[in-house]
Amino acid sequence: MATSVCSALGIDQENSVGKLIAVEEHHSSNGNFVLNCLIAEQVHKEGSVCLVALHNSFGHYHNVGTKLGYNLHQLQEKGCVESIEVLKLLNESLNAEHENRVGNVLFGDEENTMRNLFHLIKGKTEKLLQKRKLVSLVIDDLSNLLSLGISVKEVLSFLQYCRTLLESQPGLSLVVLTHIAEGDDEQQLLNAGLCHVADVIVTVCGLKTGQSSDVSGSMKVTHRRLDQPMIAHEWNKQNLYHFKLLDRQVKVFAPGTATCLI
Amino acid sequence: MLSNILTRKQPSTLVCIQDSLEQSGLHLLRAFAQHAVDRKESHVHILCYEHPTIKMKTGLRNSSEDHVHFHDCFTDHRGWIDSQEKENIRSDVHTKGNSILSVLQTSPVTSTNDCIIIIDSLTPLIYNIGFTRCYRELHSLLVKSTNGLTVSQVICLIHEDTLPDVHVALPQLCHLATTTVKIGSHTQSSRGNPTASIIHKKQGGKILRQVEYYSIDADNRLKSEILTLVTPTVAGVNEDENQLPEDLTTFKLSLGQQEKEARSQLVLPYLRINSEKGGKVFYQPDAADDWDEEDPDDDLDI
Repeated sequence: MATSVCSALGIDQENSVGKLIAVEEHHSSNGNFVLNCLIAEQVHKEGSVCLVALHNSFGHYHNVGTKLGYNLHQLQEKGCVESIEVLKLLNESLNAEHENRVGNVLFGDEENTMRNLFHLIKGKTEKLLQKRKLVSLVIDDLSNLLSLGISVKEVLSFLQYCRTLLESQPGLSLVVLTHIAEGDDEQQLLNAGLCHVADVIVTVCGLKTGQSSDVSGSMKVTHRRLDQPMIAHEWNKQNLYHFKLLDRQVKVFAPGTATCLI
Repeated sequence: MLSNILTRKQPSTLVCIQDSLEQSGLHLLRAFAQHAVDRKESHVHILCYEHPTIKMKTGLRNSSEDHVHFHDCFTDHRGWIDSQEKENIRSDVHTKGNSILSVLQTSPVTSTNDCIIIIDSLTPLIYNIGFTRCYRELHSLLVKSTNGLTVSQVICLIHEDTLPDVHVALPQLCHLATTTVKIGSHTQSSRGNPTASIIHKKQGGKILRQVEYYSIDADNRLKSEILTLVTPTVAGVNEDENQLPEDLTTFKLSLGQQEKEARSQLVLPYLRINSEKGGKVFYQPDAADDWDEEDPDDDLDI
């Protein structure tokens, strides 16, 4: 199940509370499985999840969850999972804007949009923390905010505010995914801004040489450890893995050790 | 040279540490901050824009002493939480100053004494207030007469891969800085340590350039040494190739010194050595040769 990914990220050894895990998804690959595995781990630890879905719908996470062994809809009814579906908010905001009534969250001033979204998240995480000790805030594709026409500056401010929650709400951990398309400067700036403040960076790429039936792509895990004293050339600072996505699990292995090769 | 700048043997008013995702410069900044804290000669103002103050505090020893002042510019940097709670109008939100000068002015501990300012990253500040304003503020900090502050040194970190107009902004900032330290990742010759390319402008106007590698221990003490590059030369490879056949055979292929001398003195049998200048034509007529003694142009009346 999700354990192979979690052990590759090292979160089975080190506590992820108060940390920021950045998932960097390069074009021609999909880093969504990392988020699903982290959600599965959080559910397994009996923590709760606040999901900010900008790329996929909540239904998608539910469907993947049933294959990984948990039911998000049930958990949501219990109050252990909260979700903010920006795609749905878009629809509501658009209607509200047309009818000139309250509820327009996303259309308006850039700063207001980000502020509204942050306050939504803050409210939900506070609510979750009253029930459970561990809360994971998962933002699926921060770079989609750029597509809404919001500038890099505002998105980075929003990210900084989400990071302040790590300080003010103990027990919270943050997982953020960004997508990078080659040649998109804004996405690159945003990603660099995110990675500079992240504790763990997971880079998901496709294979350079093309497609393979035995390997879905490569995953590089970098631990930044800025709080700890500097050690010259740590051997485990950066680890490269290959992974294979299967129907109900993810296989993670060292490069060159795919099942067909052994 | 890096340790000379840190200990201020080489005086520098603005130290700008440039880093990238490959290698963070935060450890080096922390070493600078630690040295400033331990010297106890002047007040140290640490402005945290990128990380919460608690992270900087835990990273430094003796950070709770009186002359060390932390300024939290990280939490609620744009007044979003404040405005929600107090329901302020938006114009008030923008007056929540996050610029360097306003932070220093509003802090109650600001003294007119000599002070050192450490900025954990300029990048969020540049995003929020714009590069030109940030540049102007840094400049006015360095000019002593403004705002009643005497700033002896400013040390700041900047990430070169997150700046919006990096090709314009970075050279300008480097121009303002007395010392620019560019952090690079470890190379073969740096023994696994990160490298720092330093450009330092001396007071007389001389510019020093040096590449060093450094390490920082758990007490934030810096050790740096000059990086000597180990370059595999092309000549070395060729030499190896020449020596290769000799190593492979049991025969002696080369010549000794005496043998070489003997070779140079040997006169080869068919080699004619002309000592006279000019050329000569030797002609030996054979039997079939039709030799005409008469002048062929005798009948002509010239």
